[in-house]
Amino acid sequence: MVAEVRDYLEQVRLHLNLEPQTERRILSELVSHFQEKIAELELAGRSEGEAAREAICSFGSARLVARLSYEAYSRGSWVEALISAQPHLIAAALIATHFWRRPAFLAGSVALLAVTTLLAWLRGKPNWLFSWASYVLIPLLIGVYVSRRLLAQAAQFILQGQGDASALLPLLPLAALYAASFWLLVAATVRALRKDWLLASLMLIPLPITGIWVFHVERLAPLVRSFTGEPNRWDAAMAVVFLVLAVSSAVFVRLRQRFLKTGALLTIGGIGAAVVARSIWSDLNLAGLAVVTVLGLAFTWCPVLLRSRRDSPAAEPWTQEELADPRTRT
Amino acid sequence: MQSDLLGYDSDLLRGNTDPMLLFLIEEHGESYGYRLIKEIEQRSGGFFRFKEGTVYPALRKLENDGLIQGSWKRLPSGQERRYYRITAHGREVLRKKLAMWQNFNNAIGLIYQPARG
Repeated sequence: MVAEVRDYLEQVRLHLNLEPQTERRILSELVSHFQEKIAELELAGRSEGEAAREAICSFGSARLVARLSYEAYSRGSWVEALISAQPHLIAAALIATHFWRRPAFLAGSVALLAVTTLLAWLRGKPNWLFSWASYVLIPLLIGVYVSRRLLAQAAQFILQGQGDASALLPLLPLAALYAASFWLLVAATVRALRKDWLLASLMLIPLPITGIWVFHVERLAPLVRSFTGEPNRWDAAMAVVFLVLAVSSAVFVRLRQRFLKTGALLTIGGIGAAVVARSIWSDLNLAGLAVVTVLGLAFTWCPVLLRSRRDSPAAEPWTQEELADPRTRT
Repeated sequence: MQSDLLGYDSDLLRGNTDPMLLFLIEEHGESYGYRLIKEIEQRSGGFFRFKEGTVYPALRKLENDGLIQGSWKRLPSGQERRYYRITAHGREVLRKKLAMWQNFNNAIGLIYQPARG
């Protein structure tokens, strides 16, 4: 293929932000178009270079083609929107009814979330998977956070010889928990990034929001066992935040325009963290609120930076051979 | 689809591109992107000129809506093309759109003719 066309199609691919198989399908059709158009122009007497430039010129800008293609391919069905909202609705229901403090309900919900996520992961990784994946990560990350004291005791015994040798016993299961959490977080984020950094952001959004809440609830751990305890007072606010997340996830799936999806993420990431922080720390001043909002936004947007690293010039997953392979098309 | 803005306002075209594509696909039994682009240009005497890259997303939207169905075919030359066929739902939608267009065209024609008396 002529170098100019190849560069042009690479520009289209860089701005598509769709899953690789869909990108290959789109590019295959465009390659077919360019082959025919260039052949026709060459028959009309143009040189190969002239024909390529004319074909590119009449095709429109790469960004325009990529944007329109994204809008045509990225919109999910209503069923997908509903499935995407489900994990947030489960979380909202657990918190609104205070059932999150009943181990059986909590374990059942986590098992449901984990099994659904695993099945979706094994069966094609649909876009709605990523709103479920975050809820599988949350219990693991909470486990990591809660077990930090055990780890500190073990580290103290090893480094300073202080404390009890029994502190070393939990090290193996802890190491497994830490490794599993880290691997799952990285694998899920990388997988989401391969599709679209917006999906990775969508996946990460509940983490800072839940993190602020868990951090505070854990400080009141002794009260958690009694059902009249303090942690209840934030349940209403948290349930509302998870409801907003559910609606946002559904809207996100249905929106075609990328800038609207980005706007929706900005709103939930920043404002969601601020609302939770404000409901927990009622004496939080404006500066503190601004810091929480900025941190929430930064965390939600970190996949953009990772994505920009992924877009190195070396990334060219649509070689001529790949495009010619009918298995890559649907 | 986006026009090159040659001699007409692109707003006039909006809303008519889907029926145009559906009509041409139905007429041929099946067709593909490049042929549709050429045909629209030829049949309109060069009046309609699209940014060609915008036709493919338009076809995808029609496919998403269940109005057309696409499939890959390998040509004797080894080249592959994605062909589109109209569906039963697409035919029904096309019939309605054509009737609507006819009524709209008649009404506009009546307005633009000189007033009597």
